[in-house]
Amino acid sequence: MAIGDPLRADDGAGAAVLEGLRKSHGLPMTVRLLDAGTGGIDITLTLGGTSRAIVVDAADLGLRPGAWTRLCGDALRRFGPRAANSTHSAGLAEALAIGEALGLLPKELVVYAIQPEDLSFQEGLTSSVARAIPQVTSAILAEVCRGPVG
Amino acid sequence: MASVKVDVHHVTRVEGHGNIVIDVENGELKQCELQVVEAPRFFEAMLRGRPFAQASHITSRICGICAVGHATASLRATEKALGVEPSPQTVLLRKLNFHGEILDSHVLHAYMLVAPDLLGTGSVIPLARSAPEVVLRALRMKKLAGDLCAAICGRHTHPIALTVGGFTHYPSRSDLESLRERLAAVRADVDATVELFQKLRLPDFERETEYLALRKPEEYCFIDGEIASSDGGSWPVERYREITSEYLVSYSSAKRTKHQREAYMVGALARFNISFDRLHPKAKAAASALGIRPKCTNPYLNTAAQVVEIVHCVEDAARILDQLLAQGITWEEPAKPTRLSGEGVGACDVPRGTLYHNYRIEEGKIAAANCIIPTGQNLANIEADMRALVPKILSRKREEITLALEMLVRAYDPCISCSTHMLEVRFV
Repeated sequence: MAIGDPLRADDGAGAAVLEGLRKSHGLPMTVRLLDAGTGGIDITLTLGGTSRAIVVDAADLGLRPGAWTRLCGDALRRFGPRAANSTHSAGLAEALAIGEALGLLPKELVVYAIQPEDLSFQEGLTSSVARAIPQVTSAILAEVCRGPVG
Repeated sequence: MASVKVDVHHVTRVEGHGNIVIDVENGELKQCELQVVEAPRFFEAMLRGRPFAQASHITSRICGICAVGHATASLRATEKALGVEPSPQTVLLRKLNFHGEILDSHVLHAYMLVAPDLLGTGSVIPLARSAPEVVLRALRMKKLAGDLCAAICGRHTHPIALTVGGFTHYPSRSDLESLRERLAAVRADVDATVELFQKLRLPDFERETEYLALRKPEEYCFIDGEIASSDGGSWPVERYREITSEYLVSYSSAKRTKHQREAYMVGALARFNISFDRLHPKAKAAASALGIRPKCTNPYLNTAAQVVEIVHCVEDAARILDQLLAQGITWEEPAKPTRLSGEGVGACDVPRGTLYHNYRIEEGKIAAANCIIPTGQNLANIEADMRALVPKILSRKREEITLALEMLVRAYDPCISCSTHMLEVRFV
């Protein structure tokens, strides 16, 4: 699931990764690609219908632009809701917190977070984030092809 | 307490970023401002030069919550500019789509943005832990609303099947039947919503206010119609500029509007006050249960008016579905433009109030565009409310004053991201 607004520069990172996955040839038939846009609380609902989900989003992690990381388990829980941490109303962190409180989250949830450089209103990724897209795409492809953990 | 300073940076649980600044010295209100600090939007500039068919797709991205509202207003502006007459089936489907969005937005606002204050929790997350059935109910209702939108316009946020003159995709009979069943089942959740807001006490505060909304003689109006005022009078939407009279204040990037008084209010409460008699009987009954009737001048009761609209939209959506199932869906080609140049104003009453899109189209391309967003129209009224409210609650503790003001802003369901503009500045 990609989250983010492609009309806000690097917030389109998730959508770009999704596009990379769509174009790749190694994606298993069982994988569903979904662009959740600026989804908000609906992210909770969509995740609730799955047993394994990978989410891609631009996120301010205090890293250098274009750096990315894979979050799951406790590391994901620590990525808690902050007041203004999202370009849209209820961001990913809040959706996950509500999902967890309601017992709706999939058993396996992984978030690939990409550090943005620019979130102003314009189309197109910055070069630092654009460089990260093929790397994240390959990492996710390898992960879905590996099958469930444990 | 005769002196108090309140400075809320980034009011929480509103869409976008706004600050409240209040400065009272020795009982005198010296400063009372709602500062909108969101980065200005570039959508109007982005539309210039684009082919007319792209307008609704670009403008639907102004906001994820009111995407269908922006797309519909955009389409109506283009259709009026280019002499396109939507078919009765298109009109019906657009109404149904709209109901889905109103439901989605109002459920979000009432349950996730307002209810936490009324239930004494800081956000919806503790509520999810202490009252999961309440939050689950909200999510269920939102899911139905989203699925209703997706069935009609192809995707929930950023509707892709809506196009100039009609649709590029139609729902199947089984889609409609399934939605009809789910709407019947959601009535239990709707009743529970009315019950919940009956029990929760919204703050008491009255201020004489002018309300503006779109109005049609034959129905509770969300799309097209005339601009109507609670002070009397109605005007064609083409006169929106004089009615809204936008102006700027120095401390905020969003323009403000005024009409016959210093400010006016749009949104659910305005629609309720202006078109109450056209509500579905069940919605009127809900209004009774919630203790709200026209003309209501308590802005906090905007949320109660939204609950009334939730009831109305569920019932009217069911009625429309029955009609569509009875007559069947005809796969129509979108109605074509009769000319490629012209000017048009599209107006819709979206969840937060009246929205205007005005386009001038030349040879099939957008030459100029103007959008007036409901929340921008409410900013001056929110401030006027704050100016009236603060002296009344001055004796309370600072945290209580702050909360009362935050709740006031939240009651309007402001979508601050939508309401900011970019100006073209020229040095002469």
